[in-house]
Amino acid sequence: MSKIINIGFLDIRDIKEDLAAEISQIENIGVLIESEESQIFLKNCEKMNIGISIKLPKDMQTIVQSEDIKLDRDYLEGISEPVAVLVSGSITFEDNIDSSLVNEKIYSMIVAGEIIVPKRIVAVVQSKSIIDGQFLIYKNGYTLFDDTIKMSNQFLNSLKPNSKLAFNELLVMEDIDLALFEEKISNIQVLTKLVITADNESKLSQYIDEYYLIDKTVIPKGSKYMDNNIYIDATSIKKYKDNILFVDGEVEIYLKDDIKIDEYIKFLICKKIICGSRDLPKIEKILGHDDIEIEIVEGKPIRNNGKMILSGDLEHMEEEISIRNSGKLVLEKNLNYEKFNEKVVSIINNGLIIVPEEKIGIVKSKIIENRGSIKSLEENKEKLKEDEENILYANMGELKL
Amino acid sequence: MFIRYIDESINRERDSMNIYTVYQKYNKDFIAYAKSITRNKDKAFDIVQEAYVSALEREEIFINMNEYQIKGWFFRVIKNKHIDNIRKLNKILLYENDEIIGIDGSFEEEVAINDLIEKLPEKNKEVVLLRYKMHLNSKEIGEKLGIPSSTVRSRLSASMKILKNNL
Repeated sequence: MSKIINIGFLDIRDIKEDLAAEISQIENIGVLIESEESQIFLKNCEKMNIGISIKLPKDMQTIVQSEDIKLDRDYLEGISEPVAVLVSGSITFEDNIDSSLVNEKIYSMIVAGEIIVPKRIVAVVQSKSIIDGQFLIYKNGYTLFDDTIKMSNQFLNSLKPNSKLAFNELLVMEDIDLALFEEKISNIQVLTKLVITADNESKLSQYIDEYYLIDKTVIPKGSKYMDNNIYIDATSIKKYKDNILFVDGEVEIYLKDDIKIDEYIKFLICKKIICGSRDLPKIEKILGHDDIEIEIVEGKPIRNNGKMILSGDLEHMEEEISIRNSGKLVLEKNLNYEKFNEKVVSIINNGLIIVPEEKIGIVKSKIIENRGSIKSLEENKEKLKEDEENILYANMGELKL
Repeated sequence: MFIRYIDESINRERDSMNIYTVYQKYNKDFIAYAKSITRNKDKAFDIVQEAYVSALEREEIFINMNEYQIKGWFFRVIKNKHIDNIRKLNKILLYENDEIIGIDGSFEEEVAINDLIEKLPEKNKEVVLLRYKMHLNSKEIGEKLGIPSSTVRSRLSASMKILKNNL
């Protein structure tokens, strides 16, 4: 008897009885598509961790996409029979589609991602959809930009007068010519996020629909805007030239003694600073306001956002370090744990640490914050071996049997 | 060399994105989605973090997935973790004819109820699962199964009676 495990889309509508008889377990399936017949053939099969299970007629066509797709009138009119649409990604409906067309052409939709629709067809799309993700609605008659757009005078010049625009995400950081804006724009709708300078806000907010409800970030004029957490050290600091730096996240700073941060960054505004006590006096001089959270972590930071393996003697590790793990950190059996214990001051774990069973205590003693998981090497190997047994199909995006 | 950085993307011909890079790229989208379903900023961060750790623990399942499939996996798992959290509060909400019947039960009762659902007649089981697991209403269930919504409600009603009698 065999297993089918870890499949994104699994279509078993046409499964043959003799193959079905071989299958004892179906596990970790994103979307399971069944028929009356397959349900009978697999009635004794154990089904575990099925994200979405849907029964479709055997002859129903499916559109399966693992990418972002856009549907417009032409696309739907080209479909001859109703289809089931299965998408990993985002699906965007253009404004030229009406409810009757959706109703006629789409049997059902299963989406892991986003559905972006004009308001006139919300009801019919929702009635046909199962979505793991966001449902974003833009107003009828608006032209949709479903990416992140940086508004500029050049962008405005390209528009027709009195345009109504919907943006998934909009950045308004350049100086906008108000007369040009008023000529080209009638209304703006922002679906997810707006980043705008304070002086643009005072000029333009009246043109942005439901401005008070939008998720917005207002930044000082002339700021360099960074959307994610950043790390500043002696090398990366050189790209900031007398900036006002606005970071929509955390800033981790580790500088050599001879670096004067205020020679590169005039003001720093962010949610949180992570630094050593040695760097704190320098950093405090440039903080843009008093509400910034400060976390002191001693030791040179070693950051892992991917997969990192520590092994051997650590002969090049001279100074004390602090490990910030946001990925998968594997500590091998041949690692010099005595030196590890001596040199590693702290560990902040937001990922997965795998360590030999007998050394887990050493690792845990270094943990100052753990929002991840710590597992033994042996447990991890056993799990992988277990999964390898009796596998018929595994680890695939899409499979039709 | 005592530190090895494994760049998964070098080894993958199909796609340059892996769970680490997808998580970094779409982290804010995941949090926004989690906030929309949990209505709580702290819980949202927690379940996104749990989803990420789950991904790290099962890295092998993503070997043949592209960026969008990995992203889709995260959205599904975030939703499932939210549902799991609700279950862990030991409250079971059962719908009968659009009325909510709340039962405060122990973990053992919850397991027992799941076992009972599995033993329901197939026609009853499928409506209960669509209602309980996928949170569809009677009309949606009817459309999925090709039966009138009144039939859905009567099957749900019959199922609830069976479950209550056997609890």
